[in-house]
Amino acid sequence: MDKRQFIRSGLMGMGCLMCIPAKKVLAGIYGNISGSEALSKYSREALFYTETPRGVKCMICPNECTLKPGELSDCRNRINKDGKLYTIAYGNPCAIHVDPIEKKPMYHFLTTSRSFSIATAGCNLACLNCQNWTISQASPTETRNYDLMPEAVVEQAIKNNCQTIAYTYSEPITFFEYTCDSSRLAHQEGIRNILVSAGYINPEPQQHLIKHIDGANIDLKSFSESIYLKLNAGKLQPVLDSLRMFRETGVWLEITNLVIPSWTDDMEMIARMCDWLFNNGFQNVPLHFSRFHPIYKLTQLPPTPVSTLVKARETAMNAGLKFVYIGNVPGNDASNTFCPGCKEVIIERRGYQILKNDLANGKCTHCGETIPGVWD
Amino acid sequence: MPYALIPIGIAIILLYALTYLLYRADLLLKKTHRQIWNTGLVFTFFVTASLGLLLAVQVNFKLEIPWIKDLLVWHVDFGIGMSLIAIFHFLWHWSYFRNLLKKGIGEPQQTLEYPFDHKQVVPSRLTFRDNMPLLALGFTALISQVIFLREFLSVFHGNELVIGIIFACWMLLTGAGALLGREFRAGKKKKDVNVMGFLVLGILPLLTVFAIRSLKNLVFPVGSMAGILGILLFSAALLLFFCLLSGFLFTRLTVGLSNKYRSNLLGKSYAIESIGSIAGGLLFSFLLVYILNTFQILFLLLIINLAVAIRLDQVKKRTFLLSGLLTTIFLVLVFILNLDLHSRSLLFPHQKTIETRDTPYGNLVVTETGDQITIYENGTPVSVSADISAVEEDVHYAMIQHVHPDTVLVLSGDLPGIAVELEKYHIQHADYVELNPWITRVRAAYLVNPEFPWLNILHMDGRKFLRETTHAYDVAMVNLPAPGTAQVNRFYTTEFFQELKNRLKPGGIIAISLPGAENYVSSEAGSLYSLVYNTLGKSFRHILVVPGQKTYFLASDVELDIDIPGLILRKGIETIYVNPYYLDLFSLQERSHQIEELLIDGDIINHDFRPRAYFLQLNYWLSYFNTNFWMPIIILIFLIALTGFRSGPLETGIFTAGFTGTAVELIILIGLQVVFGYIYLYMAIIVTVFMSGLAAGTLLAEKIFGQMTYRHFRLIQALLVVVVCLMAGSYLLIEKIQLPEFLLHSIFVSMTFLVSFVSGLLFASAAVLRRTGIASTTSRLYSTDLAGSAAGALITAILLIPLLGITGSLVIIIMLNMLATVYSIFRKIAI
Repeated sequence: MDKRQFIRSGLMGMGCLMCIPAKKVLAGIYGNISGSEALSKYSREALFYTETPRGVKCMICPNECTLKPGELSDCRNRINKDGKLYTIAYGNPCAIHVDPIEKKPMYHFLTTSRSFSIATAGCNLACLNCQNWTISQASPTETRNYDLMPEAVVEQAIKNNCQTIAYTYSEPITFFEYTCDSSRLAHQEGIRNILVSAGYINPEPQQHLIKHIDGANIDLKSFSESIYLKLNAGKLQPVLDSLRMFRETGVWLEITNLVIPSWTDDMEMIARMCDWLFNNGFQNVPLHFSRFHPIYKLTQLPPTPVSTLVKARETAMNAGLKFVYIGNVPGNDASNTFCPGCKEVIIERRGYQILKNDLANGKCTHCGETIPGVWD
Repeated sequence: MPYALIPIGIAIILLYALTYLLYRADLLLKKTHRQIWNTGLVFTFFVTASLGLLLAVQVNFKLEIPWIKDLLVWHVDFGIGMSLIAIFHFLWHWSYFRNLLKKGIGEPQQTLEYPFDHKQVVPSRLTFRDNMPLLALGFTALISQVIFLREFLSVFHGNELVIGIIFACWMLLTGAGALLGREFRAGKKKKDVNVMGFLVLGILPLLTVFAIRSLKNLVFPVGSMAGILGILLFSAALLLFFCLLSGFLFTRLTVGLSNKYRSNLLGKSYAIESIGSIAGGLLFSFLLVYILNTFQILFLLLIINLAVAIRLDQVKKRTFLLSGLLTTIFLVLVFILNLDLHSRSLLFPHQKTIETRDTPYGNLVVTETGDQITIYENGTPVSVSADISAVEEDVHYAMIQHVHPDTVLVLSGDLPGIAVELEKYHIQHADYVELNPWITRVRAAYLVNPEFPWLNILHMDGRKFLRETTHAYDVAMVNLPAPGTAQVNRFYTTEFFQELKNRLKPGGIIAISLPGAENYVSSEAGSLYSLVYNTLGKSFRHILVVPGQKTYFLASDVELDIDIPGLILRKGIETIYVNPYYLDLFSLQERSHQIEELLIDGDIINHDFRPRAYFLQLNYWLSYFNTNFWMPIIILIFLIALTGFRSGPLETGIFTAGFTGTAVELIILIGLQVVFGYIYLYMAIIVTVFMSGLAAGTLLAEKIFGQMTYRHFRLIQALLVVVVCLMAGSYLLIEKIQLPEFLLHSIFVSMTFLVSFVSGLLFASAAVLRRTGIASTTSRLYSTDLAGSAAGALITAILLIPLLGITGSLVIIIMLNMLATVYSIFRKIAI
């Protein structure tokens, strides 16, 4: 080996070594935030965590992150500071909008009302098709946030004539404490609360949260453990468990299933999902099959063919589910509500508006069949 | 219709240069070179004369022939060709005509016709058998490079960073292969190594393309974009074998030739390989891409490489049998079993791939899923049957703002759907301009294709069209992808907006869009939005942001109204999605206002020659993967610098020249697109001119300088500085003054040639001056040149141009060359 070769080999070795700290530096920028910098007026000691010899363990969701001091959770908004777990997403939403409730989608809950919708950064899943990836895959320290403590949330909802507050866009389970406190205060002012979530939560915190939640739209992303892992970085079973709990505790529940070509469009899987829903008492729970559009990392797939959605709807209805809708397909009749008794259209929808409403006191005006939902 | 004086002129000069170079490199006899052009002269004369006679008859007898105008064009174009060839012919026989004028006709002088004795074997004059492997290597490498790049771009996201990374991987791995060639000791079996090398070189492109298509959805989640690290590793892994082998073969062949003739033939080898590349580039760009699919082209490469292997092996039975077997296997796979379609369909699982078509602008695929047809362009869906919301947003947001839109300009987009929506406004005329004619044909074949008398479809570059059209429009819609490349960036610049405004009627409206951010605008998206917003603000008084699936920017000198649902209702336009049912006015106003509040007022705007938008788009794209913009760049630059920079001034000079060559080529291609619009064949011509300059420089170095000395090396380095300075001056002129078209063509072509010619001179001189053994010299100089090119491709595209603009980049290149020259002057001992 001559001198030049020696220098070159040495430099290459150094380059390789540099790559390791570089990764750590990147993680420092994007993954870990030092505790002292992270805590602010938007930090609160977290609920549902326990101390372990390896660090604090967050018990909110099935990820159950164990964090060493200074480390950030997978959802990017919980941090271990001096052996205590803090949320850094309390009172600092990055997205605030007033939306029609049908946009959530909630078709059987205070139809045509407006919902004061908030989200902080962070999510406990990492879906390749996330519509709100700029906030779900970020930490509150990386986003532009509003200063909106729970009292102000309720105040703003009233000011904007909203009947509900929706905790939505990213994942409300990850800003758990903010959701709990805001929804408790909202109830005191007679405002109802809606959770738009992936339902990826542990039973104990779910029980705690549910006390103040009136309606929920849970995104059942697929009916396969392996797809949940590859597409969403999550697990199916905890979602099924949380669905059961929502139903059992009387929260008004609607379920969304996004049909993604090549991922979740297998009719056999959809049939299994529908059978499970029927066998577990979800036949009265509205199910929305939603059309996928290429977004975020899944840009090399086509939008879902409408015929696939129609087939999925037929499968669900054949399985015994009574209220099955197709979403994200403008002009499609399958956004109407049909009476399961007389099969008549009782609520005719076009977009976020209702063209016809043949419902009186929650009953079909044609045959008197009770249509489940929260109508007023 | 204008006559193709410039394209025909340039094409003939290039082809002439090619045959001339082949003759100078002893690959063609002078006689053959002249025979080719004499045949051309006879052919063009015959066509011109026949058409001329026909036209004369038509005029004299007033015949009504419907296609007579076309004949006139052909007559003139062939006349142009004939005149140019006649000029060459005249120059060959200049002495004859001179003598004719002086003394009358005398006996022709044989010595003028064949001044060299071709039978005499001198070390620097190589036979066709010597040259064939290098020629095939250059031919194979260039066509494979183009095809691999197209394949990678159809599975990854096509932006400048991805293109730069793939180029950098290619150059670095080929350089590494060249270094491997130096270390290799074959002993007696060196010929076997070359034979095996060419056998494998023929198969590898086929296998590589198949691997790219079949592994994409195995390595990455189905239908997903790959991150930057994934792209780097995937492309490096798949290019590894081909690039290492081609670099290795270059060193081995050069060493073999030099040893055979006991002379340093690196310069010659480099030139011959470049000539192979020129032939490959010309054949691919002008012919193959139009008539064959990817695997058929690669099959052609297989045949060529097998022929070289057989020739090297002097028809040994084993090689012959192996070649026959391989040919049969791939013949069946490619031509009978349609490997192209089947391998392409692996990229679209759960969809039925109906058609795949390679066009000069990229790959088109049509798939069917249920009742839905999807058309993909380079892997991304661009047209979907029954995707009404996207089409309605593209059309109605802009159209509804105008009181009475009569004339409309549509730059690209999903034509059938757009036309159906435009019809609702009872417009008088619409020009639809799309660069890629094949996509219109595919859309017409597979999607609903209503015909409207008011619709005029044109296939050309949008910028070029704007400069040529005399129409004025009420509404102009720009439906292009996000500005991820310098090519698309041209449609987001202040110069473009001004050109567009000049073609608008008073009160006209334009619409342009960027990736959507419905609920939250990230800082990366915000920067991009701000830049486009501020750029639009330089030309228009009012700008309205409409948040939808994409974020639309409407601009006009009249006030714009966010109450789109109300406007639709009042005008009675029947729509499925853009209406009060789906668009909630409150949400629309609120979101539009929120975005506008985020936009930063500033003086920084996007220019043609200072393209900032594509830098910001790259930054936004990288935020998908939580990747810092600088990290992959720092790693790559570090690797390139490590490979490229050596302590010696010769290597530094070659590295700088490689850097300069690629950077300048890129800058010229951007300049061309800005000035003339994107013209596929012109791009191909520029690349060919560049390669010809390189080949000519290396071939003629000895002739120009005689015995090469270090002083010559420094002089050539200084010359490179001067040439780049000239180029910077030309760009400043182009930016400030409206130059005549012929002058602009001359500047671009001559600058390309000059830079590459001087780079070629520099390489040839370094090859002679480096005093180490031929293997070491070849591998070092070749790999250094490639590393320099890699650095030039990557750094110029993603850092210099977007951050400093074209002139700023040229200043950096000048400084780099000056430093290298100064280094050479002060490190005399090292040389």
